[in-house]
This record gives sequence, structure tokens and C-alpha cells, in this order.
Amino acid sequence: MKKLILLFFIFLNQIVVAQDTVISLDQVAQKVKETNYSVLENAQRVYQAKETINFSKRNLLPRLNFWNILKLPFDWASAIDIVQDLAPFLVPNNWFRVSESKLFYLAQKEQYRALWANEVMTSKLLYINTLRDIDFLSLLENQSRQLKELIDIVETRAVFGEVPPQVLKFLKIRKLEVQEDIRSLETLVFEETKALTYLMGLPQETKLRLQSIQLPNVEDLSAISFDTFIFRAIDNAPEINQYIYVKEALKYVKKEAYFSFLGSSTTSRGISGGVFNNIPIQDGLGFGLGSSIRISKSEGQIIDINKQATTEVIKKSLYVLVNNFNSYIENIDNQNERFKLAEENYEVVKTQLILGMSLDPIEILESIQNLFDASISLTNYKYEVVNTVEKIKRSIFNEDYSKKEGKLETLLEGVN
Amino acid sequence: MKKILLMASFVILSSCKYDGTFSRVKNLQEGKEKVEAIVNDELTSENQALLRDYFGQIKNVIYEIKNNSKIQKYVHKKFNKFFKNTLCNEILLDEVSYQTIMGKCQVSGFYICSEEVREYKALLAVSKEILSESELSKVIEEEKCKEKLTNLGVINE
Repeated sequence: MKKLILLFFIFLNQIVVAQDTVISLDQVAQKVKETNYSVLENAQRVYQAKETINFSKRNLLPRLNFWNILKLPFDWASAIDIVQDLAPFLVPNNWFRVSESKLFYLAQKEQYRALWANEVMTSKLLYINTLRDIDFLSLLENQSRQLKELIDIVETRAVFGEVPPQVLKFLKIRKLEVQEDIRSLETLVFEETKALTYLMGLPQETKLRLQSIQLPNVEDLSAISFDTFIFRAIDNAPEINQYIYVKEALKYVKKEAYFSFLGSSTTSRGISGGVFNNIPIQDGLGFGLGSSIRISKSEGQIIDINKQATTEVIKKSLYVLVNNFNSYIENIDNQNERFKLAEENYEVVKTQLILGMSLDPIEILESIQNLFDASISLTNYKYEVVNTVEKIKRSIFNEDYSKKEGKLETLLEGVN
Repeated sequence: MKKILLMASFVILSSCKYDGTFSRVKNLQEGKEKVEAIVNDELTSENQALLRDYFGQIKNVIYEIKNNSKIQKYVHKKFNKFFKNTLCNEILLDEVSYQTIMGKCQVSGFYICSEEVREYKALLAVSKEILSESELSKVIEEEKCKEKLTNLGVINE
């Protein structure tokens, strides 16, 4: 019986342990790529786009349409309709649709890449922000302890009439405020952890525990320049590559218009093909051809405008990131100095208090508050550097965001 | 006669097609010289584009050969005729220049060049696999080439 109880407790303990999932920042990217709901959904769209290529290719092969054959004895003129069934490969527009679907597949892949990079970045930033809030929490708890010590001292002094009673009340009010801040922050950390659980595609029942990260030595970092970073940001941007593929596909839409006199294609352009739905193509050669071509040219200009706008957005965000990064490096000494002075001031006040010197409690409170503000500011500063570094990595597709181009990936399979 | 002509034109056309690969290999020399000229310069966007073009060409040529058995056969067949002793030294960037570039590609923990630059050595290792032992021996007959490939870690001494 004892053994059974023991086994039961071991089993129960294991269940409790199993619910705790410890995760590190390095694991976040992998988890998001594997189980994030948006990434998984988009991966399905890429799969659909790839399958559309196969569909378009197979649509070039003869197919059986019973009803078309059945009407042939009654209407010999309908024989020409059977060409689409028996020899769809004779219709040039069907071939153009194959080429289009290949390009749309590539565009979809780029879209997928942009999406997972954004989801990975969002998750990693959330992870970092949660850790920052956990650190803030421990700083607040420290402040609460310091206030308690101060209240104890002031309470004793108040008994001897050295301190007016309103000072003690003031300090107690401040302590209650800190306790309320702690409660709010605990709630925020809880919400952030749950949001992170969702982003990583884990069940909400999971109790997530985050491993702390090594904060950077900002002093060791050197300034960076926009001019040297922009090349990779633009060259790797899936948001821009996507437009290149779509523009390439537009050429085939123009060809479709020219060859429409040989029959139009009924094959779908695929998952991203909807962008060209507003280009009218006549079923046969007619006076609408000129308009079709002009509309497709205009569509090309829209793609160019969007591509240019996207390039400028990328440049804008990189300018801001580089500026932030350099600004953090320049000002880290100020932050360190501020913290050092606040810490020294607090130590002086504390020593004076221990020695029984007469001090204004408000002055003591101010020194605690100064130290707290400086600690928060320094911690926040370092986390902001981590955030900025992460955003730059996303911009220039480094580390977790890096993905080798198709040919390179194929060649290096099994090499690295 | 017609059949012979047809066959001959087919062979000529396919040879021309594969000769394109050879000329792309030879063209690497121009890219390498451009890269060597900017090794000590700042990595501006223009210079990074030069790096991408050169290392990207290496990638494309290797990809072309590795993924097309017909080209591979053609390369093996024409190897002695095409690969002069000096070619390897002419088209490949040496270790010192490569390390200088890689040093500039790393800034404050960020990698700012094209992926092809980073994978240069791995790409050369792939190209080594394509060559037969005798072909590789011919390539490293030339002392400068042997030294270059050894320094790059593609072959052991």
C-alpha cells in the first residue's frame, strides 16, 4: 500500500513537472517555424501554390469530357470545342498559365519567408520584453524591501517624536503604490507569457518558463553604418523579391492577351494569381486587345510603385534602427554613470541612517527612488539594445532569419 | 545525308550550350579581378554587389555542373582541353583576400555580405567533389593553385 501511495505521488509529481516547459531564446525561432499557427497556415498556401504548378502542367494533357463528346453527333461544329479537351496543349494560354503558376509559387514562397521572419521577430521581441518585465519586477521587489527597512526605522523614530507622523504615512503610501506596481507587472508578465505560448503554437495549458539571456556589453559594441547595411537588407528582402516574381508573371498575362485568339485558358493562376484578376482578356481576338495590354502595362507600373514604396520602407526602418543602435552605444556611459552615482548616494544615506544621524526621511525616500529609476533605466537600456539588435538581424536576415537562396541551399546540402 | 546534318547540328548546338558553362567559368577571372581591386576598400553597396556577383557566379557555375549530368559528362570529356594549369589561380580568390573581405563582412556581430561570400569555401568543396581524382591532380599540378586551395582548406597538403 505504501509503495502504491509512493508511486502515485511520483506520478503526480511527474505530471506537474511535465506541465512546465522551459524555453530559451534560441529555441523560440525553431518553435515558431515549426508550430506557429500563421506560419503553418502560410506553409499550406505555399504547398497549394506548388500543387497548382502540377495542376497547370497536367491540364495540358488530354482530358475526358463526356458531355462534350455526347453533343458531337448532333452538332458537328462543336468538334472544335473538343480541342480544349483532347489537345489542351495546343492552346498557348495553357502554357502561359504553367509559367505563371511557377512564378506565383516563387512569390508565395517569398511571402511565406517574410511572414515567418516577422513571426519569429515578434516572438523573440516578446520573449525579450517579458524577460525585461521580469527583471523590472525583481527591481520593484527590491525597492519594496528597501522601503520596508525605511518604514521600520521611521516607525521607531516616530515613537521618539523625531519624525512627524505624516512622514510615516507618506512612506506607507509609497510602499502600497509599489505593491500595486508589482501586482500590475505580474499580470503583464502573465499576459506576455500566454501570448508567447500562443505565438509558439503551444497549448495554453503549458506553463512556460523563460531562460534568462546574457545582456550585451554595450561598451564593447562599435557603431554601424547605414551604407554598409542597406545592401543586404534590400538584396535579401522577400517583400521586394515577391514583386519581382509577380512582375515576371505579368509578362505571361500580356502574352495571354495576344494569344487569346487561340482560345483562353480555364486553368487557375493559383493562390496569388488574384492580383491579375482585374486585367480583362477577351476570349478571342477583338478590339479589346489594346485596352488589355494598356491595363496590364498599368498593372506593371503599380507593381513598380509598390516595389519602390517597399524599398523605401525598408530603408526608412533601417535608418531608424542604425540611428538607435549608434545612439545607445554613444550614451551607455551616461547610463552607467547615473546608476553608479545613484548607488553611491543610496549607500551614503543608508550608512548615515545606520549611524543614527538625523536625516530627512523624504531625502532617504528620494535616494531609494533615484536608485530604482537608475536601475530600471539601465536594465531597460540594455534590453532596448537587445531589441534593436534583433530588429537589425531581421532587417538584414541574419542568424534565425537567414535563409539560403534555393541553389545555394541545394548545393550545400550535406556539406555544412 | 539529311539525318547526318541534323545529328551534326544537334551535336554542335548542344556543345555550344555546354561551352557556355566553360565561358562562364572563364568569366570568373574578370569578377575575381574586380573583387581583388576592392579588397581594401570600404564595403559600400556597389562593392557588395561586386562580391555578390563574383561569388554568385561561382555558385551558379557549380550548381549548373552539379545538377546536370550531361554537362558533367561534357566537363569530364573536355577537361584536359579546357582546364589550363593557370585557370585555377586566375579565377579563384586567395585566402588572404577572402579573410580580409570576411573581416569586413562582420560588423558588431552582424553579417552584412551575401550568403555566397560566407559559403565560398563550402562551394569550393562541392566543386572538388565534381572532379575525378585525375582531374583534381591536374588542377593541383600547378604550384600556385595547390597553395591557394590548401590555404583555403579545400585540399589537404
